[in-house]
Amino acid sequence: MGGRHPTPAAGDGVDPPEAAPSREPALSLQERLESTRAGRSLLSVLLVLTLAAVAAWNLPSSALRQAALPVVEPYVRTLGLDQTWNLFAPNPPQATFEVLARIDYADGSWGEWRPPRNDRWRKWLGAIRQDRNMPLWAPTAAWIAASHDHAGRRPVTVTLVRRGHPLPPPGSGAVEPTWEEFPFFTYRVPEGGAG
Amino acid sequence: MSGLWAAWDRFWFAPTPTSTLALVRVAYASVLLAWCALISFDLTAFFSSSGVLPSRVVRPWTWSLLDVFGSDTAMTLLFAVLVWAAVFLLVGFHTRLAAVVAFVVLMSFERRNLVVLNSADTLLRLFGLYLALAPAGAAFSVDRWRAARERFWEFPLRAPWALRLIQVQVSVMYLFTVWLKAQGETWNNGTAVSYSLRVMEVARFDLPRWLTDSAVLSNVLTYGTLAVELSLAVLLWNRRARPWVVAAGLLLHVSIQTTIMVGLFSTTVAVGYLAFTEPENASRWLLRLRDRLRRSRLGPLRRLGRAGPRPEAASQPQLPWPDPVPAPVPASPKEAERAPSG
Repeated sequence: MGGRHPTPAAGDGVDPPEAAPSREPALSLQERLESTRAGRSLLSVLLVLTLAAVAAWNLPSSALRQAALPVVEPYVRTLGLDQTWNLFAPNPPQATFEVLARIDYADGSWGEWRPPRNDRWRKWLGAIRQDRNMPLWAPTAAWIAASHDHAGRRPVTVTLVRRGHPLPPPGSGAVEPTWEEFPFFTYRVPEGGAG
Repeated sequence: MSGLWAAWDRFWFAPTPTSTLALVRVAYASVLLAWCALISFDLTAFFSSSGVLPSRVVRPWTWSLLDVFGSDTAMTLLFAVLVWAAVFLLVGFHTRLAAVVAFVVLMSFERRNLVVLNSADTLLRLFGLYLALAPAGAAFSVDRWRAARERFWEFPLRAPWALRLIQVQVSVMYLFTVWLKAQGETWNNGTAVSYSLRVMEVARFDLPRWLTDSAVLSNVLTYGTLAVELSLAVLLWNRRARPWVVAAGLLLHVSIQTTIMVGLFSTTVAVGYLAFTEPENASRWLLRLRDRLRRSRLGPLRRLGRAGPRPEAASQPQLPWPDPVPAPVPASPKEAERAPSG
C-alpha cells in the first residue's frame, strides 16, 4: 500500500487526450507531496507533532504539562494553536458584577457611562474589575474621558465603579442580595485633555 | 504495524471529494465576515493606540503585524485587508492566498488585544489555520471556474488531512472542556448552569426565577450539558450517531446563544460540525444548488448552473487517480457504521 499515486498527467484512462481543456489542472506542490509515500510520511510527522502539542497544551495543570510546555510553547504560540476551553470551567462565577464609570465634568455636572452590551466589552470589563489587571484601569478611564470630551463639556475625573453581589445557590430560596458598589479607581484628566 | 499505517494513511490521506471542504470554506468565510462586521464598531476602542489598550501586551512567541504597522491608519487598512481576504475566501478567488492572509491578519488582531478574546475567536483562528493548509479552493470556487470551467460542478479528490484537523479540533474542544468542568464543584453538584444563567455580565436577559432557582432543573441542565458535550467529543465520529449528536449540539448552542453573550461561538462551532458532513451529502447539496441555479432568472447565475456537462454526467465526482489505499470492505453493517468518515 501507500506507493506513488499515478498522476492524471501520467494517463489514468479517465479522460481522452482531446478533452484537454476540461482536464483537471496540473498537480500542485501539495498534491505532489500527498501523492508519494515519502511526502505522506513527512506530513504524518507534522500531524503527530501538532496533535501532541495541542494535547499537551490542553492538559490541566500537571507535572506532564509543565515538562512539555517549554518544548511545545514556541510551536503552539507561533502558529496560533494556543487554546483554552474554560468557559464556565472549572466553575462559573458565583457572583455577578458589572463595571460602570462616573464622569465628573469641569462645569460641575456629572454623568454615567455604561459599556455597550456585547461580549467584547463584557470580556474587557470582566478583566479590569480584577485587581491584578490594575495597569488597564488608567487607559480605560482615559478612553472613556476622551470619548466624552465634546459639546463644550470637559471631563475632569473618571471614576471606575464595580457593582456586584454573590449569587445564592439554586433551590436555597434565598432572596438575591442587594447590589453593592465599590469605586475602585479615579482618573484625573490632564489639563490638555485625555487624548 | 502495516495495518496501523494503512488505517492512518486512509484516515488522513485517502483522496476524498472536496465538496465538504467547499461548504466549510463558504461557511467559515461568512462567519469571518460577520466577525469583521461586529468588531468594526469597536475597532478604535480595542485596537488603536488611543483605545483602552494603547500598546500590545507581548507574550513570548506571539507576533502581530500590528507591531510593525502600528499606526491607527495602518490598523484600519489591515482591517480592510481582512475583509477583502474574507470576501475572496468566500468566493474562492486566489483561495490559498486569501486563506493565508485572512489567518495572518486575524491572528494579528487577536494578538493585539488578548483581553477581549473569547472561545469563538480561538476557534475561528484555529479553523483559519487549518483552512490555509487545505485545498479550500479546489471546488465550488472562482479558482475552480478559472482552472476547469467544464468541470465546475465536480469536486476533485484531495487528501483530507487539513479537514481532518478541523474535525479533530472540534473533538478536542469538547473533550477538554468536559475534562475541565469535571474538576469543578458546581458541575459535579449540578448547580453550574443555574449560576451561569444568573451572571449579569454575560446574561442577555433576566430569566424567570422558576428556571434558574430550581435545583432539580439546574441539575438536569448541568448534567445534560456535560452529557451532550461528551457525546459530541466522541460520537461525532460515528456515522449513525452523528445526526443525533449534531442535533443535540445545535440545540445546546442555540440555547447558549439565546441566553448568554458568547459572540459568534455557536456559529463557529456549527462550521466545525459542517466539517463532519459526508462528502457524498455535501456533493448532493451542491448539485441541488446547481439545479436551482440552472432555473434561475438571473443570467449569470443560470450560466454558472449550466457550466460543465449535463447533470447526469457530472453528478459523480471523477477519480483522477486510483485510490492508493482502498477502504476495506466491512464484514458487517456494524463495522460499516464504525468506519471513520470525512
